[in-house]
Amino acid sequence: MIGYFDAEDGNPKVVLEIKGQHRSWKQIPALFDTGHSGSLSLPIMDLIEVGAKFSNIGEATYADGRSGVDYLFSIKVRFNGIEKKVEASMIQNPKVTMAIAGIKLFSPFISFIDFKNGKLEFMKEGDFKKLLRKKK
Amino acid sequence: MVKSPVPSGINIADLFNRGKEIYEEKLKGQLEPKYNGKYVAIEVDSGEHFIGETKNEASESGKERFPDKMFVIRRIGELEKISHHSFSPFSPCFL
Repeated sequence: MIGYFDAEDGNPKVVLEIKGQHRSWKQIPALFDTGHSGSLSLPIMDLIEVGAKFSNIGEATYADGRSGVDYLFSIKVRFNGIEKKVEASMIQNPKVTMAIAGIKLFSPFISFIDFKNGKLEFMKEGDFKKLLRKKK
Repeated sequence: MVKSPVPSGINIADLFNRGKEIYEEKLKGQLEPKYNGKYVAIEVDSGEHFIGETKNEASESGKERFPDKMFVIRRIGELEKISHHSFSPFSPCFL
């Protein structure tokens, strides 16, 4: 997976591909946020652009402490050689243009965040175990 | 003509409130703490619920039985924490 620290704002980001009802995939950068316990939140414009289908409504607690309606859209996400169907949340603030990837999206992977060297890596559990065996 | 993504006759606020009520009054005691961390999709007209590891899994098992329905989905136990703000036209970012 392509994970990196953005030189502009210093935040860890990942590159994802998303697809709604339209045929083509769209590549987007997403903020890697361990404080987001969901899978993926997308800006309104990205949802429109890929033709995401409004599928369900959810209830969630937002960063401002309020809990309320979470508008859910069915999309497919591709990263690190896997494809997942997710119910993505809509970022309701139209001024936010960056997607947010939460911990649930990366559940099949182990992540290493190297703050010192600005690196972000993901690997499958099996590969991680192999790496540990090599180091021993 | 562009078809509305919201099925006709569905009032989002009403659906949300009914789902919340069903969870609090009927499902909370039944599902917590055994299924904490999993997700539940609630079909508000029948009151039936479907559990999954993810929102998508809960929704898909619900759609097998009610393909045309919209569900109210929440995390069992503590609500899902979303790291962006809720929508309010009065919050500073909109002014």
